[in-house]
Amino acid sequence: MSSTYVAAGIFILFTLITLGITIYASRRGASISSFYAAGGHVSGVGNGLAIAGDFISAATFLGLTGLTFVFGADMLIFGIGTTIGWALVLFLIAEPLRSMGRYTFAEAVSHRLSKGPISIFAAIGVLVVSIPYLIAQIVGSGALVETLFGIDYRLAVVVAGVLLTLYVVIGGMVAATWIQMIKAGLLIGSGIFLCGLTLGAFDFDISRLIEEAEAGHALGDRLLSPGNYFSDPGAAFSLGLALSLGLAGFPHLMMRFFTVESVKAARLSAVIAIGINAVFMLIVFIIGLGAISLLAGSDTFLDTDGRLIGGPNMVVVHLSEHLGGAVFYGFISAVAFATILAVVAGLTIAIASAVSHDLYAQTIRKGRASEVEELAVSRAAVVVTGVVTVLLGFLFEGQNVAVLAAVATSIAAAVNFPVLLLAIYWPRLTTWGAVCGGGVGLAASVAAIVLGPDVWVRTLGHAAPIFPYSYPTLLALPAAFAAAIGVSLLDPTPRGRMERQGSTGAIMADAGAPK
Amino acid sequence: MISDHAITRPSRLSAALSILLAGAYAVYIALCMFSPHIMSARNEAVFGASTAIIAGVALLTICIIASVLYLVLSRRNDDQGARR
Repeated sequence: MSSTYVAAGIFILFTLITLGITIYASRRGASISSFYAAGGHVSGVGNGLAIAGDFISAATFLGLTGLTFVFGADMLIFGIGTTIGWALVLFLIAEPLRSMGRYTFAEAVSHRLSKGPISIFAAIGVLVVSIPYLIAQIVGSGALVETLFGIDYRLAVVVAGVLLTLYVVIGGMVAATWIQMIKAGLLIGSGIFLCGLTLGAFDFDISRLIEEAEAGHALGDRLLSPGNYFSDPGAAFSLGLALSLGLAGFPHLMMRFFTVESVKAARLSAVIAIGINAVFMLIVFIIGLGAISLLAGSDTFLDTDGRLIGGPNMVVVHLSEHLGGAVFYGFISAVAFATILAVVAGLTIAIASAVSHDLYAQTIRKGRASEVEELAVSRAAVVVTGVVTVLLGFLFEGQNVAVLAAVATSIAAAVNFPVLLLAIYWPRLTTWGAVCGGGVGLAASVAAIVLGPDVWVRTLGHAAPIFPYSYPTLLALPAAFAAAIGVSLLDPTPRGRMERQGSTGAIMADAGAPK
Repeated sequence: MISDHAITRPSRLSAALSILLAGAYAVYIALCMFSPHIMSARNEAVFGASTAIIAGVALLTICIIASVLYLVLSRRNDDQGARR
């Protein structure tokens, strides 16, 4: 049986099931609460699965396996960074966020500050983080489907755009949650199965897997040593900061904590996400190492120069065909595309809610918009987001997806995270401090990315970068914190003084966590 | 506009676990970058893996243990609060 037909069959089945769930979700009632936060009725376990489905993208499954295949042990810096990022979200963010907001990231940040400026700032923060990430996903999906199914890139982007619009317009957060849960189950199941097949090829002898990986790799015994991917400590620390703190700055991930009924459920969902993330990173590492010797010397998967056909990102796909045959290859291909749809659905809701709730209902209509009116604006925002996503997918065809993802992660860590953390824990934060901190973080991130190696050298063709690292977090994060704290302490406006004084005398309330 | 009760502070447990994990990650990166000879050393007793891999897997495991510990202790604290 042709693997393309299998992949198409599984993908069509996935689409039909998820569309059925979407229609079912729409019949459960169309309220604002349901659209933004699934009515707050998602269980802790379900939300944990959905968080994993929202977070673990194709970049993780395909990209990190490829990174292990090429650079070996350095991949662990990525895997540990995101897992620790989720742990920090659990310890510091999840509970207060759940208590402070109902639907959006902006509500949590503006809890005790002036709603107008903070809503505008937070909405801009959501858009500047989510749009580059959305472009990265849609460009990746087009390229992936073009390679796997043999259909045109533009058609693939249109299919993804139409599906994401249907899912979110009809089913809102309920549908997105179900899609993310199903996708997480499929991804984890297929990852465990492929890891089992890989270990089975070495008779479940990890020592043999390691020895044969070293023997089959150009790096030899340096494969398991650090420093193959990162040559500069500053670059490694900058990436580590972005990975571990950027998660808390992604609005589409943090919004998931509004979908559960209590802080207990929020904690449980974060713990489940941590467990899934950690296990998945180990699976990816084993698959990447095993693929080195299993794919070495194969005429089917390597070109005449000995390079992997389709690049290192295709390691998982090639290995699934090698070990599992056409059916498993088709299954993995369909799962990879489903993965992108699930992430994109979450991002679309984050963008739509920032536009309809923060900008329209809270800022333009100053809280006077009816639920029907706000819901209509939300759905219109989803349609516009879908159309813009498809157009951006066309425009950015062939662009480096990693650069776009780096932009999003760095901006999330430097713009949203400092403001969110200070809004929760620092009573002297003022409205202007929050706005200036986020603004400085954004300006520093964009400047460092433009002056860095990815844009300044590889895109604009200059000889050497002005800012040495691809990830600007090492510069932008301290700058954002310094600006937020400095402006808050020096804010001379009457509102600033009132916010400082009012908060200074506050009774410090615990988030309910143990002492 | 200002709701004082919105301001929270991290509990000792969450602050300690955050510092522990973030610190361990920073030390891991520092060792990988500044002491590659230590992190490249092979450990035949653990499948012949390098220290970088063993320490990385250990950190992932510690992350899971710390989060489960936090969950259990938080739940106990919730129950005690409810009884009071």
